[in-house]
Amino acid sequence: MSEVNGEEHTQGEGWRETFPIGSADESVESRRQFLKTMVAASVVIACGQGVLLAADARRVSTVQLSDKRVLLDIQVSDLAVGAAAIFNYPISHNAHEPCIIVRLTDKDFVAYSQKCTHLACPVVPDVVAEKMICPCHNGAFDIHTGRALYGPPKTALPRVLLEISPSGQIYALGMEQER
Amino acid sequence: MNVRRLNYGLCAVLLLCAAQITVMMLSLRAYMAHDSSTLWPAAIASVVLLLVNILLLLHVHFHRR
Repeated sequence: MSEVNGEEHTQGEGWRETFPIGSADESVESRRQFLKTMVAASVVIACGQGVLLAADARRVSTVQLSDKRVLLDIQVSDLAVGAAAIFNYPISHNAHEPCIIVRLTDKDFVAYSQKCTHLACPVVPDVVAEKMICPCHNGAFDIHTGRALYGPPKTALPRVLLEISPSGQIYALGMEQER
Repeated sequence: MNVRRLNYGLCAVLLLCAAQITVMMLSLRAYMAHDSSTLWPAAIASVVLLLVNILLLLHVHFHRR
């Protein structure tokens, strides 16, 4: 006679040495197993979090397309709230990008390249719907960020960085695009 | 280790996993909304929760009976 986990058994019962967990400890063992499973699930969730981080790092990278500071021939007083105007922004010494500036509120102005990132159709603003619409293939971009919302375009509109002087002059400081 | 302490550990691990899933859901929502600012803190929180989980598991194993 020997004793495993407080339970007596005879020498002939070899299976008890192979499986030394008595019936009283069964629930404890299943709890331990459950604990291991939960920790494994925890590892998987943490890995998922890492995948999200990696996907975000790949997605949100802003590319500087130009950093030329130019004075636009459009003034704040030329644009009513909700109105838009076209201008050319130099992206190299002999190339200009057609751009559109939109006045969203009294103080908020946004400007983007007017070429849709799908097939370069000119985009038009819809201030009420807060979108830049590409009428050629029914694509749309967020008017505040330039990000593609729906339709064929997948990448954001190149954004023109603006500076408004106290005298009401508008400067374009550069152009960048989220990839 | 007695059964009661093991049960407490089990509850703690369950709560930690639930918290981790909540953090994951929040960061998924932030990712969909292109809000990168919350992703790093969420990832750090998730790793901390995982470490606490692992510590609990080790604690249970080192105090085996």
